[in-house]
Formats: sequence, structure tokens, C-alpha cells
Amino acid sequence: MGPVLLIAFSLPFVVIIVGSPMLRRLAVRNAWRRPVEAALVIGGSLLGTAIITGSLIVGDTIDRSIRAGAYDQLGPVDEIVAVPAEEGPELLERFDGFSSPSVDGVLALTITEAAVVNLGQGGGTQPRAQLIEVDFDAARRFGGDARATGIRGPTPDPGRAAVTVDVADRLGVERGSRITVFAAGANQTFVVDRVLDRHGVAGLWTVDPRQQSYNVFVTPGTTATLAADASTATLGAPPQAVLAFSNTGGVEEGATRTRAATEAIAQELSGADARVQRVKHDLLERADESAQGLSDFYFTIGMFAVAAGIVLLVNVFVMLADERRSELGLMRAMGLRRSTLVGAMATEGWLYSIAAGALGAILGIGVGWVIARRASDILGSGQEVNALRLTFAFDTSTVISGFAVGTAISVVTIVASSVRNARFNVIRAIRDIPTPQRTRPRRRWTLLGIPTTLVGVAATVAGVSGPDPYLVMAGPMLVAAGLTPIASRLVAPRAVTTGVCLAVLVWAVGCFGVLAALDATIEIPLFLLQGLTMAGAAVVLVTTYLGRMGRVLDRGGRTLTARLGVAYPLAARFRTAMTLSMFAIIVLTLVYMSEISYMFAGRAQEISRNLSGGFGIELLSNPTNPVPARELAALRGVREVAPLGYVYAEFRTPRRDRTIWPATGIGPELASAPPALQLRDGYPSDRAAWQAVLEDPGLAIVDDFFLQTPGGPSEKAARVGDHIVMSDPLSGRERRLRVVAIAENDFLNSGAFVSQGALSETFGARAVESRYFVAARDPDATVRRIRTTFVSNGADASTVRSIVDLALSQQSGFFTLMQQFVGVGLLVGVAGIGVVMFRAVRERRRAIGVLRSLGFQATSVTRTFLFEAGFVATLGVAIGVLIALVATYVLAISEADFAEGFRFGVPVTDLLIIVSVALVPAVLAAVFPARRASRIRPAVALRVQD
Amino acid sequence: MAAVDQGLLRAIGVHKNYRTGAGEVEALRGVTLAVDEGEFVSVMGPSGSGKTTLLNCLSGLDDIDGGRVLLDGDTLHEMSDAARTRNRASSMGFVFQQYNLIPVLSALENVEMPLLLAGVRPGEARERAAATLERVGLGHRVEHRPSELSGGEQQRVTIARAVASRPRVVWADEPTGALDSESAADVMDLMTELHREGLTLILVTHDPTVGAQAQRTIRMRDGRIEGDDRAGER
Repeated sequence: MGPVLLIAFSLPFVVIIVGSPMLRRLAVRNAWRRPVEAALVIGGSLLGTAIITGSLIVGDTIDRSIRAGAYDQLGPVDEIVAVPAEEGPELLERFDGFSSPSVDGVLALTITEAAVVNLGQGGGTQPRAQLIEVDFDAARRFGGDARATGIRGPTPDPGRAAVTVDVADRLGVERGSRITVFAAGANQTFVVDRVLDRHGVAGLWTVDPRQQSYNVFVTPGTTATLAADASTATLGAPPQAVLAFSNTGGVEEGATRTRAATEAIAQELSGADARVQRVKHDLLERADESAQGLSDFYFTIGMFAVAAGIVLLVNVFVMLADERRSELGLMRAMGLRRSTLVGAMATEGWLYSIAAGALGAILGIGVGWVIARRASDILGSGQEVNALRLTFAFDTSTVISGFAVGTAISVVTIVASSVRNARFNVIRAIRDIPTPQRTRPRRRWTLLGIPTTLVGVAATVAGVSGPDPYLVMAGPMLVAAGLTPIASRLVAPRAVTTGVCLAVLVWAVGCFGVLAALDATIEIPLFLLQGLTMAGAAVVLVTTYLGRMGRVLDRGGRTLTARLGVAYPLAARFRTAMTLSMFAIIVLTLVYMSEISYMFAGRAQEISRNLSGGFGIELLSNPTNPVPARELAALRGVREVAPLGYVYAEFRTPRRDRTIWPATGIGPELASAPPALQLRDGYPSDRAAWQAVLEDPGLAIVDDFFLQTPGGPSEKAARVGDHIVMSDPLSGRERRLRVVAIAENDFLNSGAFVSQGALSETFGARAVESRYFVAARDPDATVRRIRTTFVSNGADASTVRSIVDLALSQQSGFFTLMQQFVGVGLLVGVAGIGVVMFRAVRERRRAIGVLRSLGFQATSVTRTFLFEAGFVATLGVAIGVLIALVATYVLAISEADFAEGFRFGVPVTDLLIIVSVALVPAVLAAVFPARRASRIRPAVALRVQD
Repeated sequence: MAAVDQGLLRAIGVHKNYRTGAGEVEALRGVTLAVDEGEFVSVMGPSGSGKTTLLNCLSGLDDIDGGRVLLDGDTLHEMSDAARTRNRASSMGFVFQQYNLIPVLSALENVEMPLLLAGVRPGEARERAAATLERVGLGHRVEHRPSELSGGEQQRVTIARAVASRPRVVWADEPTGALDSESAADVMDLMTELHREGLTLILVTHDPTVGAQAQRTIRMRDGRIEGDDRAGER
């Protein structure tokens, strides 16, 4: 789409360049006339393209990484069917002689969840592993490509095991080492006889969505022997008999035949209590969704910087037109049509845009690489189950799209600026007489105000009834914008501007309360809309009162340097407003993010308390060999234990298609000291809502981020009152649930809370209580004790606080990355200051000559320019900081659910860093032009014709 | 007329060359002259004769390539740029053809500027600037920006700016060149009046009517002084 747009936009300019020698000469020579300014314009504009390209490349990286993970972990496996091991023979019988043109291989395996330990010195533990029994010869034949299966050598002999590289790394074992496997209520020690890559059948992982595969391959029949050896009857989840299917067409192409293969397998399964899991298809679908989502996310965040770049372009082109006003006037006087003039100016801009787009696209590859690298660190730093390893990758077509979109934005901006610049009074332009300020808006603006107001009213009504958060936010602003020209004909325009800007600011900040009341989903682009409108309104407001501000400053008794440094920005209001906007937009965003991150971090304790109810420890254990609740309760230091069922289920909601997500079955222990709720459906207390879920297997509690995969749609998947469907991905058994409450953000991966009864009915024996919330006097000491005592049960215990801290630090890392990404926009502001200062030196040559002739020292000229740059940048930064602080303060005291528990505070260090990072380069950008100005010789300057 | 070894301002064998695309141009070829305190001198000559270059070089705005310029016994071009700038602030005022007011400052602020540069306290500078504007007949336009004033008014602000700090010399480069005849006459009346009050005035013009109002006229041609007449001698 991008390239098509670019060609469509560029065609007129190519026609001009080829067909009109005069316009070509004007455009090309004007572009070369001011090389430093041209470089700054290109520099400022290319950042926009770099950011766009970078965000698209993030999408490529995510997509390729998840896909690579899918191909690694699944190889030739496209679909699987799993049943409890005792039903395995019947399943095998069904598929005996199975054939389908879409399927080229069937492989039988037995998979049991296990804990695996290296009992040697310094050995590690992996509480969640898979004990897999498979015939290695059959596995190698599976799918027709032995290398793609990752299986090497013969089937391990009894007492020997082949482990994946993940197990070897985690346990610190190699060939010849001994490992002990705890499964099915017993344990057995194996000698490691080879380490397999995480690849294909060797990498098959069905436990959860993590990208690691902790697989231990043993000789068939081992699980049965273990079960027979178990000292007590096993209460855990049973081993699974699994049939893996390979689709015709190899590892990657096979996935395209999923639908036909699934139908063929499902037909064979007809009447059985099992269903086909499209494992590869689902994972690839998730790759596409996550890639698109994260790419869109960075694209949206990057739009703040792109917006600053657009403002820079507008500013530069208005300045260029000002500089050439006389010659443009002369050309019009000689008979040049306005449209031709627009063409000449826009063609010059098109040349800049093409150069900036090409350079920006190349720089974007670097930007994408940096983001991918940092994102990989952050995504890999959280809990392993949610971790994602990224490998930098991009398609050439993505870079071309980035180039096209970035250039198209620049071209549209430049054409719009050129249209505006070509409107002038010819006589005034030739004689360089300033255009008088209109006291009242033009009639056509007033007329346009009426439909704008009506559209605003309609948008507001539609937004509230939707609810659509964008229309809710933008509707009243449109009404205000539409009323402005109408009111300005009746009341003093300054009063109207002030009123409208204040109203827009108040609404932009305050509408989140309304959105919360409407239960509208807050998405990232909404913050873009909020930030841009707030920055715009604040800049207009400040610009309106610049003169008054100058007079107030004057009373303070300023030096001549300061007076001149303030006087010029005050006089060139449009230019000043544009520069202020660049800084305000970016600084507002940076401070806003800092504030949100700071307020989130400040909630660690409260979140921990809300998530765990009366319990401070979360314990996960091997479902086939769970920690016995009674023994856990008897452990020293443990005060109370809440056993929970825990499975990965498949959910469908009114707004979300099939998504694999955790489900937690609760018992009376948790219901009596439950986690806090954010929202509940008419229940008098949180406890009453939990009690209802406990007693009614048709009810569920979810959180705001339920079913939200990284980069997936941010719309809430389920709201209070919604009906959702929970199903067992293996058997296909379903349960309809009504959401009765919304819990705190789910940092513990609890997923949907349902009654343990509902979980057991849906998932059978796999819904065994293997997860616990534990209350203890000394949580840290108890965690250590649990890990050592229940190692054979695969006990993986952590304090809730440590999990929350880890998640918040990951979140904070993301905020920092976003800040760095948006912070690139500050370079646009800095380039903007540089361009303005270069222009100022040229425009003020005579004035500088006069000042120097009157006795103004060269150093004072330098200081004046630096003061001016500092003044404008400081004002822009102050606007950004102030609005961000006000907006986040209002957010903190609002009812918005995602801001629940926020306590307003100011991250002073972060703020100082942001202010310094914005101001210092801005002043430095003025050093070169300032020094140039100071070196102007007065006699030479005075000879210059204005 | 002062002898070249005395006078407020002395120029001795001043040379000034410009490099152009076509080669080097000798703009001043060994100009020697002296101006007494309180004199009103006009410098006349055809276009390209070196009038403005002479003004720039004698005021220290431009460097010279040979000779010496002394103001009150101090050699201007031996001073550092900063010292020369200080000297201009304390001893000189300028009036230009294009007014050259700072567009973003009001009339009062423009006039106040040289006073502040000369080190006058801000409060006193403002009072003196207001009084000077009153003196040139613009007491009612002090808060106006240059773009809000007529050409004649702007030039009167320029004159006020030039004289506000009571300089030893005021240099005027074609002060009436951009004005209509009525405004030009007003401006010249004002300058003559200020000269009568003791101001040393050196005025560059190509307009004989304007030049005739000076006590002394220096005629230039091709970078040399062609004639130097006092009013009574013409």
C-alpha cells in the first residue's frame, strides 16, 4: 500500500521535473541554495521515516522470532491429539491405517509431566518438564525429513535418557551425567546418553506457551513402571497418549494444509472424547497477531515523534516562503499562477522528502535493531513462561514500506504547507510589507464552524452510545473547534481562544473519568490523541499570551541580551508556536510515561496484596505428582494453604477468538481470604463475589488483561456480565461461564478463576490441585523450605512480591524503551531549533549589524542567540512537563480502572534527566548559528539588502 | 577646518580595498582629514565614490588596509574588536538610510538600547530614552513598534537612538534617502537643531540639498577627497 501511495504522490512531481524546465530549475536551485538548512530539514524529516521503518521492523522481528520458535519446537508436527494414557490403545486403533492427502505422518508418543533434578553437586532443578516415550526410529521417519525431527540415535535403553539442550543447561548436565525424574508418584534415575537440540519432535512442548522445551526422552513403558512403583495411589494428572500429525509439504508449507488435515483427523476422531489441536497453525497465528500488534504499538508511540517531524516540516516551509516572499510576489506579478507556485514549492519539498525518506529508511533498520535488541532483553527478563527470545530480522519490502509511508507523510505535509504559503497579497509580498493580523476570522471559517460543531455533537453522541473512546474524546473537542470561529465574531477572539484551549485541556485530561464510567477500552492511540490535543491547546494558549508574558518578564528588569532573546520569539509567534509544539509533544510524552511507570512501581506492595489476598507465596508443582496439601500445611512456618487447580484452557469470549490461557480452580480456602477485585457485579463485597464463584460452577472472575497476548488487541476480551466459553483443548469439553468480577492485573498468570468443581468437570483428572497460595510468617524463608522439601514434586515457589517486582521491572523496562523510542523525536526538536536559529541569523543580519554598530559586543550576540534558543526550548519543555504532570495527577485521582491505586508522585531524577536531555542539545544546536552571528562584521551586515 | 594633527576625529592616509569576483577594488585611496568637535560635515559624491566606506572605516565599523583613524587621540583600528565596540557604545551614534530599527522592540526600547550598552542604569536609561523621544517629537509613540510608525517617524526614532547616549560623534548615512521630501526636510531640521546644540555630525549623502545644510562639505570621487569646503567658502 505504501509504495502505491508514494508513487501516486510522486507522479505529479516527476511530471513537473520532466515537463517544466523553469519549475525544475527553481526547485533544484532553491534546494541547493541553503545547504545547511537543507541538511537540517532532511535530518529532521528522516527521523520520522526512521521511526516508522523501525516500528515495522520490530513487527518483522517478532513475527520471524515466534515463527522460528514454532518451527523449532514443532518441526514437522502440525496437529496433535491427546487423550489420557489408558485410552491410548483405543486412539492408536482408530488411526491404524489412517491416510489423508494432507497428512504424511503420524507419530505416537506418551507424555507425562515431570520434575527433573540433578542431585549431584551444584545441580539444578526443573520443576516442569516432560517425560516422553517415543520410538526414535518412528520419530525420525515422521514427516519424511529426519533432520527436521531433531531425533538422533536409537531409542534410549532402559535407565538411559536423551535430554534436550534446555534440560542440560538448566540442570548443568552433559552426556554421562545422572538425572532423577519425578513423575507419576515415583522417581527414577537415568544416565544422560545424549543431548538433543530443541528442534522438531525433540522440541515438542505441550505444557505451556514458553519457548523452552524441557524434554527427557526415555524408553517406552517407563511411565507405566514408575506408576507401578508409586508407593501411594497417584492423585495427579494422568500421563497423556499423544498422536502427532505431520502435514504434507514440509515444516513450513505443511501449516497451509491445516484446515484439510484437521478435518480428516477430526473425521477419524468422530465420537471420541478428544479433539484436534492445531498447534503449529495456532502458534503461527499468534506470531502474526503479536507481530502486527507490537508493530502497531511502536508505530503509534512513534507517531509522537513523527508529529514533531511534521511540525518541523511545516515550520521550515513557512520560513522558506517568508524568506522568498519578495521573489514569490514578483513571480506572481509576472503572471505565474498560484497552482504553479504551489507546484514549484512542493517540488522542492518533494526532493527533500525523497532524500530524507531514503536516508530515514536506512537509519530505520538501525532503529529497529536497537529496539529489537532492547525488547529482547526485556521480554526475556520476566517469568520464563511469558518470555520471548527475539532474533533481529527484517524484509526488504518492510524497509520499502517504511520509506514509502515516511515520504508520503512528508509530501502531504509539504503540499499542504505550499498551498498555505502560496496565498499572499502580491503587492505586500513584493514590498515586503507585513501581513496585517485579522481581528476576526474569515467568513468561510465561520461557515465551516457550523458543520464542524454538528459533526462534533454527532461524534460525541455516537461515542457515548458505543462506547467509542476516540469519539468520546474527540467529539467535544470538535464542538469547541467548530464554535471558535463563530464565537470569535461575537466575543473578543483572545477570550474565545483562551476559553476553547482551556476547555480542550480540561476535557483531554478529564475525559478518562468519563471513559471509565462508560467502561470503554483505553488503547494506546487514545493517548496519542490526548497528547497531541493537549500539546496543541497548551501551545496555542501560551502563544496567545506570549506578549503579556514578555511584559511580565520585562518588569523583572532584564538585560539587553535577555530582552532581545525573548523579543524575537515573541514577535515570530507562528515560528515560536511550531518550535514549542515540537518540544511540548515529545516532552509531554516522555514525562507522561515516566509518571505512569513511577506510579505503577509505587503500587508493588498493593498489587502483591491485591493479587494474593491473604497469601504471600505462590507455589506451582508437577500436576502428575503434585505437592500434597496436608504436608505443605504442616511445613514449618506455613500458616495457611489454598489449593488451586491449574490448567491451560482454551477460551472464547464475545470479543476474542480461541485463545489458550490459564484457568485456576478455587476452593473455600481462597474464597475466605480472596484476592481484591476492581469491579464486581452487584455483590456487596469482594468476598461475596468469590463465594458466588466458589458455589456456582457457571461463574468466573477474570482480569482486565484476560486473553491479551503480547501485541494482541488491547480491547478488553471480557467484561462483567459477559458470557465466555472455557474448553479443554484436548477433549474439546466446554463450559459456559458468566464473568461476575474483574480482578487486579494478573501478574501471577492465574487466568480465569472458576470453581474447582467447574475445572474438574471440564478437564477431568488434569485439573488436579497442583498450585497453591501459601500464607507464611516469613515468606522468603518458607519459599526456600518449600523448594527443598518438595523438590520431587517439582515445587516452584516464589513470593508474590518477587513475581510482582519482576513484572513491574519488566514493565518499567518497556516504558524506558518506549521513552528512548519517542526520545528520538527530541532530535526533531533540536533540528527545529537549529533551523530556526540559522534562519534567524540570515534574517537578522542587518539588525545584528546595527546592534554591533551601537556597541553590542560579539559575545553578547552569541549570548542573545543562545538565550533565545534556551528560552523557546525551556518554554516548550515547561509546557510538556506541566501538562504531563497535571494529566497524570488527574489520572491518579480518577476512576479509570487501569489507574486504580495510582498515587501521584514526581519522579524527580527522571524528570531532571528528561529536561536536561531536551534542553542541553537544544541550546547546543544554537551554538553554531550563534557563533556565526557573532562573527558578522557590522559594516558588511549593514550593506546587506533586506 | 582642523589641521590633520588635531581635531576630535583624524584620518591619516586611510586605505580600504574590497575583493570582488573581478579582482581587488580600491574603495579608499589614502584619505586624510580631520573633524573638529561640534562640526557638521557632509560627505558627498557620486555612487561608488567611497562615501559609505569612508563612514564605515572612520567609525571603526569596518577594518582598514592602511593608514590610521584616531578618535580623541585613540587609534581606533589598533583597539581589539571588543574595545572598539565599547568605544562605539560610549562615543558614537548612527543614523542609517533604512532606519535599521530593531523590529521586535518598541520605539522606547530601541532608543534605550545604546544607553544600556553604554552602562546607564535601566531606570535612568528608560527616562532618558523617553525624554529623547519627546525631544524628537515622538513622545506619544513610545510604545509603538517600528512597523507601526511612518518612515519619517522611524527615522526620528533612529536619530533619537543615535543621540540618546550623548555621543561625541553621530554618523548619518543617507538619512533622508528613503523619505519623502516633507519628511526629509523635517529630519534635516531636526539634525541641524541637534548640531546647534553641540552635536558633532558627519553625514553621507548624494543629495546636494541635504549636503548644503552642513557647515563643511567633503567631496569624494574614486576613493579620494576631491574637495573640502566650508559653507562660507562655497
